[in-house]
Amino acid sequence: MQGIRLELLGLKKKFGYAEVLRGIDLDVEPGEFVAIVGKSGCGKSTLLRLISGLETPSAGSVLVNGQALSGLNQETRMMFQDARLLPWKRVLDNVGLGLKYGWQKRARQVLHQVGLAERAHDWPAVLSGGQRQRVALARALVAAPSLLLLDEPLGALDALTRIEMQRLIENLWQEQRFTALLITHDVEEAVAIADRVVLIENGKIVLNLPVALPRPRHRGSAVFASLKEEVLNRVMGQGVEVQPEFESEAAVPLWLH
Amino acid sequence: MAERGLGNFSLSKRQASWNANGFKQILAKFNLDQLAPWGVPILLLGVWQALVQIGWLSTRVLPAPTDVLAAAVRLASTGELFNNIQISFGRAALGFVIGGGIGFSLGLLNGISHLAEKLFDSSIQMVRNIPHLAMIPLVILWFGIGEEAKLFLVALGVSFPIYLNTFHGIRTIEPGLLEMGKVYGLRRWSLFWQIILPGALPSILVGVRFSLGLMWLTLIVAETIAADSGIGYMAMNAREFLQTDVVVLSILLYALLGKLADQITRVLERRLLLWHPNYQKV
Repeated sequence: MQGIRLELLGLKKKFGYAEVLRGIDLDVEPGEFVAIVGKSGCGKSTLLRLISGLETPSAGSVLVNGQALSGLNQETRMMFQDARLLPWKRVLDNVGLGLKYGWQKRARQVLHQVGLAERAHDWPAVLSGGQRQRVALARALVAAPSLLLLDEPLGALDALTRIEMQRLIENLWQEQRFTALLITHDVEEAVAIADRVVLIENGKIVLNLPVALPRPRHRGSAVFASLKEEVLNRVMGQGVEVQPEFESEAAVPLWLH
Repeated sequence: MAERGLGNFSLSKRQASWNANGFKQILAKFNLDQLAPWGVPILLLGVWQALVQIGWLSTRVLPAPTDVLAAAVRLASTGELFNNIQISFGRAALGFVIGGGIGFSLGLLNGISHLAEKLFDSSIQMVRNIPHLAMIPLVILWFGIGEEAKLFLVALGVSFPIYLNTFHGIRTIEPGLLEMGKVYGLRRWSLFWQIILPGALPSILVGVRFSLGLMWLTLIVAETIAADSGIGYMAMNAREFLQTDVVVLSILLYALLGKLADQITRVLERRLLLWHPNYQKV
């Protein structure tokens, strides 16, 4: 499976008077893993929705393998912050959603890859949050997409489950070589899995930093720490006091938003 | 529900200790758990029978349960009883299918299409607010006391709860799931069958349960006022001949049929909502 080449040309999006994206230009190589970081409300999620075709841009265009995107992006699968499994379908049927003929074998395989083969006949309601996201990952990968969009899929998971999922996603990506775009609040996560970290601020790309670390990456290494520090400082901006820990959105109580 | 669950638990606990004492066989014969809900009705029947036999209750007011039973046997032997039950049941079922079908279709249409909602919803709400039993004089003028009158009233009464709950069920489906379905390649029909309908089903079944109650209510009123057959007619006819036992029998029959309908929806809910955490057996 070959990943797609993705080009964003002067992408803009307005909602009423609010201009959420103000001209995004980005090239993503086939099979590349790009992480997009930024503060809440900087337009990251809108960007992903434009690429998936759920929203249409106000100006500019999305090119998939050189072709302008119109309508829903067929070769794309998306993972959301909440797993969005259908509660009335058993795990295996959730994985096979939207597939035709003889998908069971392939669905079982992918379920095995995410380590949930023995839960195939359970209802989603009895799974833990991490297990649900693994099922969602299996569902995204079963159709062998050439582009995987990850909209903060690990934001709501606990720290240990998150690291486990990061490794799983990295491994599956290395195996299948799809192009991947990951939105995250977690700078460490971005530096740990991505080939490149892109920072969006006020609807524009302000940092485009390649992460040239060999895989598997060791989070304890000095290079890793300095890269993480660099991105973090840019995210927080000059003159703003740096918080000791950069928490994900889910860790902030709802009423603070 | 919760109380029943607790009851089960304490019974099964008691069961365990009885087993140890050798009461195993008795319990195997009588499943206490299933018999428990019948305890109160049976007790009431006993008290009722006793009150009549002591003479505290006049048979004019309330005939003894044994007399009601005798009336049932008498009417059953002439075939009148089953004939009337069959007629009432047939009316109820057909009216439910027609009214339910109309309510469900309109609910789907208005739930899915905002244009249809704009066109039809306020008209439906206006008609809904007319008590459908208030239509009886008009219905008798239209249809006389024929079958159409009963079917019309039952269908009218049944359609609104199903309409409202189908509409509401579709509108309260999580938008995230619909969005996910679109990204995962579901279009129109597959989206309907895999997400919209199952998502609305719990609400639709609530509507069905409401409707079944209204179905019997409407039928009883319609049959007592304008009919020449059916359980309601049987009761009204008996009143003219002062046969209190037959009147009481008719009322009990309605209770039984209502209970039966309710039981059917329970089974439906359990089978169709197997996935729902609230319906899963622990």
